[in-house]
Amino acid sequence: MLETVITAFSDALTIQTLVLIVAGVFIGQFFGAIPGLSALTAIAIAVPLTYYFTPVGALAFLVSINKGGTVGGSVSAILMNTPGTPEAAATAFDGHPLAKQGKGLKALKMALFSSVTGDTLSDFVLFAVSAPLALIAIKMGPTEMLSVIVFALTIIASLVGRSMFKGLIAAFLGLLLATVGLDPEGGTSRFIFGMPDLMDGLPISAVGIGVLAMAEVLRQLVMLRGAAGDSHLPLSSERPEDKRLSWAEYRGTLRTILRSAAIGTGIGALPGIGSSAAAFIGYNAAIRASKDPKSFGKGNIEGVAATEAANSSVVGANFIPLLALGIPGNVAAALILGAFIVHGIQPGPHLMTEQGRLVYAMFAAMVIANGTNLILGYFGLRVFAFAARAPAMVVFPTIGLVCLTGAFLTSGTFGLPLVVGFAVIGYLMRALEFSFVTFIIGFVLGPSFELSFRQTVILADGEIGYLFDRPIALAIFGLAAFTLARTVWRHVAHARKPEET
Amino acid sequence: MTLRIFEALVGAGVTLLALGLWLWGIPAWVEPNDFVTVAPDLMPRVAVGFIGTLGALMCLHRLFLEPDRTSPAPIDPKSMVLTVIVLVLFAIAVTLMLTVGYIVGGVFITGALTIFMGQRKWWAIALMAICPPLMLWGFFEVLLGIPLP
Repeated sequence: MLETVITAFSDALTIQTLVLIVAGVFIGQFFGAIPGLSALTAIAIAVPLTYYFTPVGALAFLVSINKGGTVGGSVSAILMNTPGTPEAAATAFDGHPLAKQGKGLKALKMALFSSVTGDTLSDFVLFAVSAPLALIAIKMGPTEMLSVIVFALTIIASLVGRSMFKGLIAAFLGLLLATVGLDPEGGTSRFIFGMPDLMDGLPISAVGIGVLAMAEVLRQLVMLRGAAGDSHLPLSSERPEDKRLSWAEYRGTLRTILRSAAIGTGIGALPGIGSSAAAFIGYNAAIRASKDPKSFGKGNIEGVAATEAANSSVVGANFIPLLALGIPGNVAAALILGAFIVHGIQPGPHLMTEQGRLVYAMFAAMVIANGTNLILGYFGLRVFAFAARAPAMVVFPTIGLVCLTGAFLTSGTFGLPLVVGFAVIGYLMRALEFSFVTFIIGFVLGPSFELSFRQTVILADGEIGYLFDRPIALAIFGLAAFTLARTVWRHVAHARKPEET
Repeated sequence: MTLRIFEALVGAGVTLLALGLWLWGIPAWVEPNDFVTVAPDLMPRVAVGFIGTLGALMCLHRLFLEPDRTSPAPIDPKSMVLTVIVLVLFAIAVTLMLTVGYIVGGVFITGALTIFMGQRKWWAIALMAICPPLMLWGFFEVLLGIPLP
């Protein structure tokens, strides 16, 4: 065990990896701090760059961006009441009133400490759970894997967005686009339109940049056209107690932080339910548990701790289904799965046995990234507060160009028109409120879904009775059907009771 | 137009697109293969079939079960025109990058988007048009040795 830990840290403690971790955390915090951008945008753009890094460096870089983004998102939420990231929306409930009282720096410090605490706890759960889960998962055959993917898709579709129909349509659109390329069994072409570049399928990096990053840039360019730069509240008043966060104050919120971290970890381990849901559930749990619930929303520092610990603890837990089953927990994990594939690594039950050293090095990098997040966040608060005010007319044209550059880096000249095309799809999805989360996860899971489906059909030899010999798969299929039926029922019930909605 | 009718139309549109893909797109763009256990068009047909069915269900749901009958549809002609303008700018930038080079395309897109965002000071436009493309070009082409178009 000790030998594994030492090897993992020696793999992660190389100059390249350390530089990438620091750069990743900084980029994540910077992108998170700017309203309209998020760690997700940064990850989508960064995936192509990781092609030039070592696998450990690449994964460390992306994970660090993800971690930094959750901290950065709180800056604009607290100082400007404009959450930099969707998951930081609940942080603004109490963070901004605190900033109005001249306690912005105190709130930011609480956000940072609770975020890093939650993230670290969730990482330890990931380290403890992923290997035993992978051992169980390794015993699963293609039918069980198919049932798990179907179950994951139904959970995602039923929980993401306001409309189940839209969530499912987006997921199946993702699955459809994943079939572009050569048929995995016979090698015949599907939707390649005579373009050899499409034989390997649509590159995840171009799809990710287009749908996630460039579509968001497009939306922000249109929304913020002609808008004057926002200013934010001062970091703090002149009183020293408003600037510092004492140990007693941190200790006083520890129970809330631990509760939120547990909520975030549990939510993160389920596919599809992202950091935003965790933040709101964590916040509500803190209100319910508080002796003074009325103080929430008026500048209660516990509210900041609850939301930040919950949304940050999703980051590590999202890797549990990814590493154990190959199923990404959210879009960031889906993009990181794309980076695994770029480096020729297939996440899933066999990952721990085949690439154990790499996985443990990634765990070590996560621990280092948490420390870096704390240090960089603490000393860079003023820089990120400044970044939050960056004028839109400087930020978004530059990010638009970075998106095009990123598309070229992975997919060459073919990637440039592709990314613009997917930006149109992403923009339409946002405008019509179709979930891009289910789309990306459907797209990423598509090849595994098709492979396990084909293997199941071959094993079953056309006999439906084969399923009855696979009780675990049957049970998971049953759960998927139950989830779907429950969601449909909920929608029908919602429609019949308009006055209660 | 209300949101309910708009979404019903979106659902109907999705179904029509899926139907077109099922009847014409898949036969035209998916090469058949008789020597495999699972036909190459099965997965596309499953996906398209579900998309079409869900689109139809969404249309029916919005028409008959949707409780919200008053919210307006999110149609903003001005935003649509602005979006098309930005997309045209990106398309021109991509064409310039592919035909002339990265820096020319980069200068065009950052400059054009800065003007689009409302900047009218010539020096600020020039600064925004030149600095980001040159910095990115310098970082990738010169520092990392990764060739750009």
